[in-house]
This record gives sequence, structure tokens and C-alpha cells, in this order.
Amino acid sequence: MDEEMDFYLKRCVKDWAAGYQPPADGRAKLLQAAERTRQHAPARGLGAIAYLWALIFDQAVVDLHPDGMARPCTQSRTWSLYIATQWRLAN
Amino acid sequence: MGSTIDQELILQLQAGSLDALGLLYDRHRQMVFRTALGITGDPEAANDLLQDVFLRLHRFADRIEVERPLEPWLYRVTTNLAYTWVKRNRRWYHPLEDLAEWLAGPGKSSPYDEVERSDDCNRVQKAISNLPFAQRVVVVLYYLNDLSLQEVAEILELPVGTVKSRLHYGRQALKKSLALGRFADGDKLPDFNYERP
Repeated sequence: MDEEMDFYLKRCVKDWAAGYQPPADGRAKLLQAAERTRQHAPARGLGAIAYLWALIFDQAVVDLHPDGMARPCTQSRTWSLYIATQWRLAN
Repeated sequence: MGSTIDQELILQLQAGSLDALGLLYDRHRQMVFRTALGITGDPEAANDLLQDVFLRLHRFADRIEVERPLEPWLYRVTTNLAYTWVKRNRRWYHPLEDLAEWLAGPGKSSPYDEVERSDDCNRVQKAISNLPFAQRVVVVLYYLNDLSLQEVAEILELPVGTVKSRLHYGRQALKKSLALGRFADGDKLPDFNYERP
């Protein structure tokens, strides 16, 4: 009897669900939303630290490269500079 | 074979491809929508949850283990988001339905009639919507998605015994609320294009 009930329930639930479909424009809306999310991705981790660092000391976080050019730091380099500075200040 | 395609698309998605997201959506949207619909009983909620699930896929793509099949992850996120929706809407869902039926009165058509395929199917869906959430999810995954008990257990990260138990109690509750005692007496099943296997 459980088998018959299973069959009955299965058919009923599927018949009911078959009456509905996802929206036709769902794909387009999803991709628009995903694109918006990508454009407004929040600054993360070291990027935020670099920004705060520059904000506090009112200067761009740059580093002198072997070729003699000053360029904006990578995130890891910014973090290293920050830690080194903190250590220097503490000592 | 399907998993290989999914794996490839996830890798592309992890590399930032929105085309891959669109293709994954095309491949799995019916399953996600159907599951959300079965659990919430609400087509609009199912539409919203469908979007949310795939936006999460996009957002957390880098955390997805490519070697593992994608469907269990999709099922899990769908049920979790559906749980949040059900919790948030529980206070209002049934009273509104009851009100609609009261306003419609006996013999009159209600707004829900427009989308009813049959009285039996609608009663079954309503009965499922009245199940406790834990039983409802198992019932929907098992009946609507043709998943085995083992597959349901893996998706929900539960022991198979627990899934079996929830399905058993869910069935009992459905039997009672649908007054399916006639099954025990061997009566004929309702006719709705029913074909015996």
C-alpha cells in the first residue's frame, strides 16, 4: 500500500509543480544582477588596509622598485610596510 | 557526463565567466525552481529563491569543490534559503490562504482556482505545505525530485535513518490530512491520468 501511496503522491506533486515554470527573463535578470555585484565588489582585506593607511597618512602607498620607479604597492607589500612601520613605532 | 560539463562550467565561473553562470542556470534552473516551489508552495517565492541560489553560486564560486557534483550543493542552498523564507512567512501564509477560502465561500471560485491543475493535486500540495519543515523537505526531495533516500541524506547531511524516519512521519501526516485511509481498504485511486506502472 505504501507503494501505491508513493505513486499517488509523486504524481500529484509533479502534476501540481508542472503547472508552474521559472520566469522567461530569469536568466537575463540573473546575469544583470551578477554583473552589478561584480562592479560593486567591496574592497577586501589588504585593499581596505592600504586605503586606510593612505587615508591616515595622507599619502599614496608607493614603493621604490629596482628599476627606480615608484609604483603603487601590491596588497601584500602594503601589508608588509604597515607591519614594519608598526613594529618600528613600537620600538 | 553531466558532472563533467558542470565541472568545466564551474572552473570558468571561478575564472569570472558570466556566460558560464548563464549556462549553469539553464542546466539546473528547473530543478532549483521545482524544489523551491515544492517547499514553499509559492510560485513567486520560488522565482525569488531561484535567483538567490544562482547569485550565491556566483558569489561563492571559488569555494565550490569542482571535483564534487554540483547538484547536492544547489539542493542544499535551495532548502536553506527556503527555510529562511518559510520561517519569515509562516505567520502570514496559512491565515491568508484560510481567509481566501472563507471569502470565496462554498461553491465559488477563488483566485487560486486559476492555477489549480486538479483538486487532488492542490490538496496534496497544501498538505505538504502544512508539514513541519524537516519532513516537508524530505518529502519534496524524495517525491518531486525522484531522489533516493541515500541521495537525500547526502544533500541534507543527515543519516539515512533520520531521512527514512522523516519520510515515514511525513507520509503518515499526509495520509491523515488527505484522509487516505481508503488506501488501506484497497479502494481505487483518484483518476488523474493515472497509469499503473
